[in-house]
Amino acid sequence: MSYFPNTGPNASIFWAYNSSSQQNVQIGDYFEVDVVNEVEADTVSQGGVRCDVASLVYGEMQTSGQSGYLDKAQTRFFGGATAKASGEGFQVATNKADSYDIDDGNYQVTSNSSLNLYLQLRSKGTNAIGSSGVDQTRIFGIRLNH
Amino acid sequence: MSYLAAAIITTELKTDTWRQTGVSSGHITYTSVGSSDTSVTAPTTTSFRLPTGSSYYIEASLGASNTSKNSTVLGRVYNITDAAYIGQAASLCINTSHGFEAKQGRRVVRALVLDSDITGSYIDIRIEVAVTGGSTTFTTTTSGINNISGTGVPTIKIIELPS
Repeated sequence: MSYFPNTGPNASIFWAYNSSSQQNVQIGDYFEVDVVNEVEADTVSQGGVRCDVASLVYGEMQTSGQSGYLDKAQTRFFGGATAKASGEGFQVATNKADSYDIDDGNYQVTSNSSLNLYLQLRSKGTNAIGSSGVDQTRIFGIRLNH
Repeated sequence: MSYLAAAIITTELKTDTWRQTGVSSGHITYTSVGSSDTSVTAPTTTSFRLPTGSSYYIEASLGASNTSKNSTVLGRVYNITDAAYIGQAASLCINTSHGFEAKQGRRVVRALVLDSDITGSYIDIRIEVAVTGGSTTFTTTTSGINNISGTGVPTIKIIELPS
């Protein structure tokens, strides 16, 4: 008799999103996801995902400025510094509060080694503070045949 | 009694990425960021060779900075072998009215090359940029776009699709 326990992620794609709004995201902080599908959450509970095999991962965010500014905000995938990885960030002109300052995505190709992957807020300015509404932080991944 | 761990299912897709390093004669230059998993090779720093037998989806992001905040960039995928632009273009507007000196949003040029489009044994492609205005640099390092470090870097990724 054999058992095939379905205790872990085993689909060709995975996705994750945030189920509650997130306020006061500052430089260096992460836009966090808390609902994960066909993927494990990161192992240190910081709102990322745990990539198990080589994957093409997209991170999408729609955020608004808070307390006046999301000054020259940028984001990046953080944690994928492996030989195969190359993450892409982006920048937007963001000098107004309450507008959708970030509405875009990052991508990264991860290596075969397990790694925790997060969406991190960066900034070239000095006052980057953001908020993300429900389901406005999303991660979508495709497991690759590497 | 035996226990077998559940296998992780993968797609049949393979992907390679190269990091943008600069520009040469209007052609984006790239460097590899790791070992190759696709059939794609890079004969030069500005070109990629897509061999027959597979289809390919090409997506290249544009990244540039301009300290004077005054330039525009139009990027396109160019089929060197057949001497033709293919796919969708993308543009950057780097000027004062937009208040920023780097790319705004994730601007990507992209093209789908079907196996049937490759009439010989391969085609070569490159990413071309047309720039208006001076002082625009496409230089990147491993930490990001020149003058704007820490955000990741513009890259080209080529996804190999099984035919």
